[in-house]
Amino acid sequence: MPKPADPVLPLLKGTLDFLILKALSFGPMHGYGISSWLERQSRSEISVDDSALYQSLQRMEGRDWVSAEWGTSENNRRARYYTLSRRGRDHLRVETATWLRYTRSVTAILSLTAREA
Amino acid sequence: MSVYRRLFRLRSRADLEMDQELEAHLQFCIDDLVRGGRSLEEATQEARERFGDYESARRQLHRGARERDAAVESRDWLGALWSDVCGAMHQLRRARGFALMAIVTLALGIGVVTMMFTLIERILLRPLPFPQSQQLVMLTGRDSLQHSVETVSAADWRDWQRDSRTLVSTALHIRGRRMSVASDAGAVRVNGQVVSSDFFRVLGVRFLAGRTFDSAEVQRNEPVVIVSEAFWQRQAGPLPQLGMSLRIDGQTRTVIGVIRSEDAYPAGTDLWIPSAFSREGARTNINYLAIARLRPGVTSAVAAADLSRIAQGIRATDSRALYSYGVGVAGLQDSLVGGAAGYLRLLMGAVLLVLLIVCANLATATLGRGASRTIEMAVRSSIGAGRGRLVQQLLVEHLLLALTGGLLGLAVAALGLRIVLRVWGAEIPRSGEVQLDAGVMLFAFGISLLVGIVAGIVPAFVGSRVSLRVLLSNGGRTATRGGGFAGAFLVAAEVAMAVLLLVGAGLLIHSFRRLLLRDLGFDRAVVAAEVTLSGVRYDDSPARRAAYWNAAVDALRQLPGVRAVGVGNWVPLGFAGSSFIEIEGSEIPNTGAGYRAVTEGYFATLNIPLLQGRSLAASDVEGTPRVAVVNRAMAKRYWPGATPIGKRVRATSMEFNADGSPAPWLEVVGVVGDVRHWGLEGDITAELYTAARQVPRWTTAMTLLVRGTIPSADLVAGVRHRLAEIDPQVPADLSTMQSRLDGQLSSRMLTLSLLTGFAGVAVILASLGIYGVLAHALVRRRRELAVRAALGAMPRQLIVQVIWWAARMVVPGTVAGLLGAYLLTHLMAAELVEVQPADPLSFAAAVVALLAVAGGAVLIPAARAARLDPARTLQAP
Repeated sequence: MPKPADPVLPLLKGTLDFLILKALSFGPMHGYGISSWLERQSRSEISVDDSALYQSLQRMEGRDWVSAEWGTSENNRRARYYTLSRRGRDHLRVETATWLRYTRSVTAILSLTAREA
Repeated sequence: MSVYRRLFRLRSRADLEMDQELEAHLQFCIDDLVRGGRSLEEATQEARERFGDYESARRQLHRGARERDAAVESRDWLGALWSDVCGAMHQLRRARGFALMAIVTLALGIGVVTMMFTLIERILLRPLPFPQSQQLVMLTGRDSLQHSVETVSAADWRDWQRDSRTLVSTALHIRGRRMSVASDAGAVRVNGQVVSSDFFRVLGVRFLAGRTFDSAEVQRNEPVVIVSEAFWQRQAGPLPQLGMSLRIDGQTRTVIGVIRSEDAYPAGTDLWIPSAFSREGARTNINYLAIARLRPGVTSAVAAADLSRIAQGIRATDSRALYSYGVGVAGLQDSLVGGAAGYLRLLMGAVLLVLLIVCANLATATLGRGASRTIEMAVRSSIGAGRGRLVQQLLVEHLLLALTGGLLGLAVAALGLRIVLRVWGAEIPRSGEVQLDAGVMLFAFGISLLVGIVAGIVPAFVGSRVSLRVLLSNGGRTATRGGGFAGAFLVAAEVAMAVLLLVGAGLLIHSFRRLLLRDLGFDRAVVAAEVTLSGVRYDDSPARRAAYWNAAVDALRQLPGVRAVGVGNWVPLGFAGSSFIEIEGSEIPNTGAGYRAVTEGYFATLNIPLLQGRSLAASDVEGTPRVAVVNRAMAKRYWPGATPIGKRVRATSMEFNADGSPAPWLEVVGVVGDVRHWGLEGDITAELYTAARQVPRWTTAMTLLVRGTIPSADLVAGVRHRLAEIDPQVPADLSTMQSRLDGQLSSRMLTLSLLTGFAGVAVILASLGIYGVLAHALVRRRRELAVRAALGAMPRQLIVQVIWWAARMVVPGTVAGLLGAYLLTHLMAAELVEVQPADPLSFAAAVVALLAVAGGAVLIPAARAARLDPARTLQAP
């Protein structure tokens, strides 16, 4: 997949965790799969630092938000597949609601300022 | 070592896995990039760049992976525990019979232990409700034989108070008596105490209202009184009103203080009246109880040495100080609990045995069940479950059972306590303080944990030793020999403990039977009405008192169904005084006899037979020659081989004269039968009866006795009514001799009932154990039995085989139990009457009882063995 020409958006702190959880809510994926899924879904606006991705996965596995298992990919390669756990799903639901409320408010305020100006 | 290896292994596995994961990632990425048109080299480069500095990212991820694995592992342990709990629930649901049996036995065992612990903690261990109560002591005298004498003389006590260096303070009081409190509503009888001025200061009682006695006011003999809160609430409503007047025993007294009912000492006292104890001069007048508070840091032994030194000084100057051969100092709490401590400890020991049997039973049942679970366990162990894991699973199962049992046990304890307190509350000292509280619940919880662990660990270790290889090599038919042996051993131990308890219960039952067979010497179908004549009307008028007793006797005799009426100052099964006596022509110094002042109707009413001479008569009045009647024991003791009729005796202490002149001689005119004044458990003592009409000084507090042709309980109301008619201001305490006797026997009944109950539980549990092991053995060895049956063994021989298995547990257990009983029963000698601790009858009865119940447990498996169908058994997989 080609690297985007424009400078990509830096990831807001703390959002990586639930972006990964969101990705896994569509089904089990391996690390690279999550990374490319995020790039694809953001139309390459967001790029994930792979090191940060794995650290996040380790942290969430420790917290029992995701679980991992070795499996085989379509092209017959062994990969560690991550699955969303029940607690991860709960966490994702809460975080999503909070994030949406937050961004709606921020967006509303920012739009308002623009109109007055 | 293992810890390091574990860490090392953990590290290498986590790192390796991380590397594999990263490698896969890079490969995916490179594939994508190559597909997008990069060269392999460019793609490799770029894939690594997406990690930033690849090597440092990799090191960081290694560390992260190790932390993650540690977190997951610890979560897995909790998860395993949880899955054990779920598994245990599942197992127990599957083995419903086992779980039910286990929980019921546990509830019983934990329940009785908790109940006994509560009683003991509250009664024996919990300090009295006074500040620094461990410094409170009771002071007692010693006679020339160094026997402890509970009561002391006021003169000795005053010397101790003056000269001691070890006491902070000390006080005197008279053994409680009933006092009458008159009001407009009528008169009531309450528990009163006459105490010295420092009484409440010694105890350190905090006053709810008002103040304690002032020594100057006591010296001036001012009419004051202190009452308990409970009395106050009964009398005057909830609002304490100091300064209010009460008419107590005919004298008007002002209430100066109120104390909490819990602080009432002795417990249950309603009111306290002060006395300077200044008129009770003689050192032989020992009718007082002494309490004291020791100086901080002073022990009872040091105080006893200090006070004994003073007592020796008294002895050196006064030859009549007969009870100053030493002073005993004992903790007030121990003195209060007294005899109850013995039987409570006995019962606690019994209850611990029951708990041990419960543990053994549960362990045996688990072993038996273990046999059917052996394959499951072995399979699990072969697929990699560690031994620790298997032990943990069994432990979890047993803790679950034990905690459930413990919870039910609390209910059993609460129920048991309620029954014990309802039936025996009056006989148990401090019973008002008994209740289930957080401490007791904690105790029950602790016991449950302990039982769960003990009963779980034993089978876990025996059971998890089985290897799948051994199991499969004999076709899954045979469990471990070890399991079978451990089960039999545990059951033998249960049998031994049950036998021990049975012997203990048997000894008590045998004692009780001997007690009931004793002759009291008097008729117990008699109503007793205790009456005290006091106040201005009676205090200085022996004639008015005599008139009252005459009127009362006449009135009661008129009652329908009444056969005889008599009066005595001290009557059987109640408090009584003894006198020093002097036998004319005898040199026996300082001898004594029970002293009773009675009317002519006394012996006929109690059905005490006249053996010799004449009885007392209505004509024996003041002014005629003094006469007395003695009992057979007194006649034998003081005039052995001779008739006492016509001999003379005098009661030197009970009839002492304030002017110092000697007590009058009494001529013995008759001999009557012996009575057990102190009840069935007491001994027969020498008794001297004087004519009440000749000793007006003893006619203030007397007991009217009424024997009827109808049941005595039905007479009570009529007696009360008639007495109220004579003088409504004089209340009476009514009881029947039978109820007094029952009261005396009730603590023995309590011990007996509880111990018998515990023994019964023990035997049933042991029998369950026997049954379990036999049933298990039958399953385990059914093929062997079937082969023998196929080869022509008669059912009778198979039954014999089962009985033989049972005998191998029961016989050694019984022998061990009898041996243990032989070694231990002397500890309960104090509870036994006329029965030796090694009483062969009780030992034999224990064996018979055990065999009878155990026989039932053997019968079912034996019958099953006899019905064994060889063909079907051998064809079964």
